[in-house]
Amino acid sequence: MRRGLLPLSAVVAVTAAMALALLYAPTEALQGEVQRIFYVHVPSAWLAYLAFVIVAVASVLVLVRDELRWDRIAVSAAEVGVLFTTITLVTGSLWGRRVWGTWWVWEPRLTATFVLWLVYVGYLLLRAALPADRRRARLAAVVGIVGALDIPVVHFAVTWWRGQHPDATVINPEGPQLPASMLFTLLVSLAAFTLLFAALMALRLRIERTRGAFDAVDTTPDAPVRAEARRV
Amino acid sequence: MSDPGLVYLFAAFAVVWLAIGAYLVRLALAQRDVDRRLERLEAHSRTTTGER
Repeated sequence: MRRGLLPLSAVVAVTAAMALALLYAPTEALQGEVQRIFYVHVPSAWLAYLAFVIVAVASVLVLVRDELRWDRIAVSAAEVGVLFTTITLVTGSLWGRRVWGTWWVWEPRLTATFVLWLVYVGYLLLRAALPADRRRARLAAVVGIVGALDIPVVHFAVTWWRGQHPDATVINPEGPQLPASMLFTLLVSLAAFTLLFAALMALRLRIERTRGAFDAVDTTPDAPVRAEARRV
Repeated sequence: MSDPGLVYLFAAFAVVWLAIGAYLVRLALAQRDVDRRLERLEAHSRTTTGER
């Protein structure tokens, strides 16, 4: 019962946040109702950043400490990060189709975000192609660290280059450029999505830790791994 | 007058739920795989203990 509490709370919170976005947040004067995508698009992007920062930090610890538990944290964060980046790209594409008249444009922020998604999908594919051992952990760690270098490029793309994506309206040197009701809705949505992020990380990490424990003791003929894993 | 943007809005919200749902299904399948591996380990352990 306790295990399911966090995921259930997260689902309830995200539902409530979406209801707030639909029913409480004011209608944007120029874009109309489609602007409400903002309340899922922006939190998803921020949580993708968080996920890949976790991947990078955990990856550094894999290389420095040579402990596979950091690798488990890295892969869990990478999967959740790819999920949130996918949501960011797809919701952004739907929003752009309505506002810009096109599903996609190769402008700086969109392109950098797509590169970020590609790098971490590549990270997961690399891991799937290699046996689960320290070599895989080290190779993946290098990709995880290099990929995170794209995060500031994504964020500052709207400042460094001209493009169609709007400038930052919240993390702005002059402060949030939003009415209070919109900012409140965004922050509630961010809190709900963060809870979801934590729930998904916890679920994924538990699976990864259990696999790691098995790898240390599994001597059955069809054991998937001959690992040097240490238990968490 | 209804806003044509509503279609895109609801599509975006649907995408969020579909993505989350798909990932939860993936996790459930991974958990099932782990549970089956545990069952194999336990069976192997019983077999090995029995042989002794």
